[in-house]
Amino acid sequence: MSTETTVVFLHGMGKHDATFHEAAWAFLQQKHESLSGQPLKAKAIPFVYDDIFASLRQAGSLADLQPFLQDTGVLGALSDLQSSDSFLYTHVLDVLIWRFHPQARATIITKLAAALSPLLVALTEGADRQLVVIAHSLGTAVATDVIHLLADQGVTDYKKLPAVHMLANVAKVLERPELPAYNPPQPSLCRPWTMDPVDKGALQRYYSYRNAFDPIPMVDAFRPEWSSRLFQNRVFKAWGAGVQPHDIFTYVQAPEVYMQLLWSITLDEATYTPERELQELAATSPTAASSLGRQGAFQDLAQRFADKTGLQDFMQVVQSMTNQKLW
Amino acid sequence: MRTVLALLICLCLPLPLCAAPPAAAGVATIPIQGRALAIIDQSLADLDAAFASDPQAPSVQRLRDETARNLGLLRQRVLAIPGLPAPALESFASARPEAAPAPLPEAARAVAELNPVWEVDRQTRGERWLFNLQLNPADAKTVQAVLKIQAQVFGEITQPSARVFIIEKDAQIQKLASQWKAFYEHVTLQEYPWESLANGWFDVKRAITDIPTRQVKILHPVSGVVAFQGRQSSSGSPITGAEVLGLQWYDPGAGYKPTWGLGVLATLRAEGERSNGLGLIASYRDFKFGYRHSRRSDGQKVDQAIISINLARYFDFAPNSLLKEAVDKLQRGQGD
Repeated sequence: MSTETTVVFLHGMGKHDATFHEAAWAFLQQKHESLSGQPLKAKAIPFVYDDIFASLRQAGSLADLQPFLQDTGVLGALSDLQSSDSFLYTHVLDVLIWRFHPQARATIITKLAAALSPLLVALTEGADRQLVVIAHSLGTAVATDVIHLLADQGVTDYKKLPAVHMLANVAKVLERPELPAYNPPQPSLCRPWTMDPVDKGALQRYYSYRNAFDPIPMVDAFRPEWSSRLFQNRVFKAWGAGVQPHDIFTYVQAPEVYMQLLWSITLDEATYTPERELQELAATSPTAASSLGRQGAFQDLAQRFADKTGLQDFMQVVQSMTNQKLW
Repeated sequence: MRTVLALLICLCLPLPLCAAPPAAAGVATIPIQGRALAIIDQSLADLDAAFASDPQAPSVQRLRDETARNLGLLRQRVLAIPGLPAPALESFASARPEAAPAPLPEAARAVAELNPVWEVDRQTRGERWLFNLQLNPADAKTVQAVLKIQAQVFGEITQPSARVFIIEKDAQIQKLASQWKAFYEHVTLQEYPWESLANGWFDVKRAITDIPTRQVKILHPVSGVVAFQGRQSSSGSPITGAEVLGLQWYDPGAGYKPTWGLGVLATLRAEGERSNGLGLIASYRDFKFGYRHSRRSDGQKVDQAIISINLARYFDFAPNSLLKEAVDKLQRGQGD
């Protein structure tokens, strides 16, 4: 019986279109083929929500303000800002909108829940169906809320999500007081189900990954006290080849990540053994000498911001990374 | 697959073949329990037989006990399902939501909610888990029997039941998403950033299932024309200002189009006036009308009725050249 797997990708902050997952997916396909000798039989579906952010960044008709703003320079500056693709305007504003704009957030959550829910329905069409969610960066916070909504509305009462992989997990960094990531009294339902009949946990398995060189999830690391059988928290070190340590491609290229992802997608017990993972880790090339300087700069940041919490720290880290051209 | 078909056929068969009496004239009932109970009872018997002859029985005692307990729990819930009307059964089994009875029996929901319990968890490499127990040793007769029981219970009882209810829940999620989409497009995106953020802050504790039907307006720019002033038919002067604070209601039934609104109006000083204007502004749909008060340079009070540009056009004040000129002026963005 071959397993039919659907893999859902959720992007992080910044501008994204429906091709954002292609590089990571191509890498996983190529890696599976080289490891197993078989093509990866799975379907990837990108979930894009950047359109909601983009529309809000453009919201408010400047033309309406024309009678009040005689200075065309002011209007022009506002217009330029609205169409800006700068890091500050896209990445940071996305995070701020997500955190502080409940109506935009609700629109995103319900849009993605409506896309994910039919995939859960499809899982009930047979026993040979699999659904794997891979979220990155801001997408991990988004996935947490989407899955919480599905659980809260009872969808996952009937079918648990088999596997959710959170790359650069910021679910704790961006948690809200009314919906903590895992702390009592009422944590998010995006958590492994303990098989207790009263537990509404939505997942069979929760995987969290953190690159030790990535400062963003480090600000408030995800460390729930869940059963180690149901929750795996992997911390690894990867600088990435030509991209920054927070990038989804940096994460997917790490053996600690792709071996777990590919196992989860294929459930191929013959290929994805713990022994094979050790071999892959041993074959990983050491960090390039050219990146040692960046690592040194990062160590300084790590000491300054390790284990701190709060949005201010988060913003300081991002700002420091930007200043030191680590992005 | 054949057993699933057999269940569906049995559920849809005429009454005599399924040996179920009608509950009332005209409404045939077929107990869903029949097939499910047969599966459960046979499973219990198979489990006992496998365990009794299993040389590795001591190491699978907990698995056997837990399987028996869960079969018992499932049996109890299946028994609680009352006889369902025939069309309901058909939809229940074939998972056609459009034909499903509303509401579906709560007892059937209780069976559907056991579906995750009966699913084998394979997410740990080299291991299979069921009922929070590892299916180990894999070659034990009891483990093999449990896997066979699981496949039948999951495939024929819990998963088809779950499918009906998860489709029902999915429909609710789709509706919620379309409502938020309409709200976002017709309300949030029409606001200025400061209004949008303020409204979000006001609603920070609102449940996601409770979509707002009103929004606060704050410093919302308003353009209009003076339609009436004192006994004059029209002054025709353009008015620019802002709705300092107001409330706007929306109609969820019409895709969150604006309905009524009311707010406090502050306008810039017009030519020949000593003070800025204050007043009230009301709206219906995208038409605005209101009252404005200010003072002229000579100290005389000015009371004006103002209307929005689109309302002026709606009333077709074209013959009034002053009004037409004011509308054109505002549209060109040359308001005072």
